[in-house]
Amino acid sequence: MPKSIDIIRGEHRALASVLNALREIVDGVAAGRFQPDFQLLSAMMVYIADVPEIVHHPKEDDHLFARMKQRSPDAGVIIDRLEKEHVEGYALTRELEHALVPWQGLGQGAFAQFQDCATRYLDFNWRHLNTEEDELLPLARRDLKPDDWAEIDAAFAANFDPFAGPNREYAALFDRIVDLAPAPIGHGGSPRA
Amino acid sequence: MLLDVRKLEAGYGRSQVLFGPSFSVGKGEVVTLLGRNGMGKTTTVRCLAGLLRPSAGEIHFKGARIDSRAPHAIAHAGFGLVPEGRHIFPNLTVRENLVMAGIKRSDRREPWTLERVLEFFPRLAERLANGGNQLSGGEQQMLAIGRALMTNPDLLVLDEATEGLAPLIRQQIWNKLDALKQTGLAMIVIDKEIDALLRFADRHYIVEKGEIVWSGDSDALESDKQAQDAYLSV
Ligand SMILES: Nc1ncnc2c1ncn2[C@@H]1O[C@H](COP(=O)(O)OP(=O)(O)O)[C@@H](O)[C@H]1O
Ligand SMILES: [Fe+2]
Ligand SMILES: [Fe+2]
Ligand SMILES: [Mg+2]
Repeated sequence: MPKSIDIIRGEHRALASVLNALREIVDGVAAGRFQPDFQLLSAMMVYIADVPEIVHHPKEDDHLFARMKQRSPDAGVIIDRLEKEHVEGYALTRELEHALVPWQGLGQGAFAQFQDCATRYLDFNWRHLNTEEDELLPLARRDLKPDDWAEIDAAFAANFDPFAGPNREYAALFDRIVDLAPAPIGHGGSPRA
Repeated sequence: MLLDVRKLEAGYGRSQVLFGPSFSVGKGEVVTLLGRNGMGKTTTVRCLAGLLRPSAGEIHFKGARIDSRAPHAIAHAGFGLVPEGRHIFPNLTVRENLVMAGIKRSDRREPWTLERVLEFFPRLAERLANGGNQLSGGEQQMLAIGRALMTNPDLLVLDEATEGLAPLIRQQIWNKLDALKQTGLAMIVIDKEIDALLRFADRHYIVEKGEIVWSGDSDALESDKQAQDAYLSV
């Protein structure tokens, strides 16, 4: 298995775990099981915005997709769609960030708007991740040659540490999210003194 | 070769559990032991750690034979175990649990110290004065890994480290193991999350009724649906 594919899948797994946690928290708030914790929600927003935009998409757009365009004619249609989705995803992320503010400022009355936005956001991202895992990566493995992988691997290694980001700040952010997330999703807020 | 296990046999009382598995772990390599419950994975690990005396076979670690050594001597040789069920000391604090596990080594460029373990697991830093019995399952698991790191191991063995943990906390453990792998630490990982292992580990051994019935790299395992169905599906 090329190292680059392990890295892409690893980033997908980490991102998916935070997306899942967001889903559980939104559902939990809707059901009255959790109080909204805006420190947690903000940390999650930063993670799901920055990890794709700063760490993950550049690997795909600039390296994996770029190389596949040269080598894998069958992947052309999928790549066009995935690239568009990266742009669309960027807009949806801004929308979700903007929906968080009224909820925080106005309280429960504005929750429905955030919930609605989060549902669309999560559905969109699941579809995107699944397309990459189920359709794109198999084509990449079929069509890219060892030389291609060597170059992509080198580019990824020069990019950053897998999902830790520059200076490992995303690893620390992930820890913070798990710390703040209510049990049984995460460690359940500040420890008892 | 860091670890070389040859034709290991062991059991409990009269019932033999291991029927001669042989496997190896290279420097910086991550290897898994896979297989359904009760197949002998934990028993294998107990032999490696000196907690169970094999009745036959050999275990070579860093070039020396260790199969008749005591657990503390094997730990001193550089074998770090995160046991199934965690086994932290419930009545000691987090700090005491970590400090008492510590083994200093002069040959380490960046040795694991209490400070470094707490930097790696910030959650434990907030819990230092808490007793082991006051920790959640995820915190206990971090403490168990922290204890093993305090021994400054050359080989870290994790027996079901993500068992019973919520998905986000499991992912946190995988993140930590990824970071450890990047430092070049060799590992044996036993876990039910095959998807995570396919990405994370270099090579795999499948244990079935105390024998190794399949071995290969992640590509080979991923494409061998027959082996997965025969030995891993539940
Ligand atoms: N302490 C023990 N005493 C007796 N039998 C045991 C003991 N521990 C495990 N066994 C038996 O040994 C076999 C292998 O168990 P184990 O090594 O724990 O499997 P695994 O870790 O693969 O689930 C099982 O049949 C189990 O019942
Ligand atoms: Fe993507
Ligand atoms: Fe992706
Ligand atoms: Mg076991």
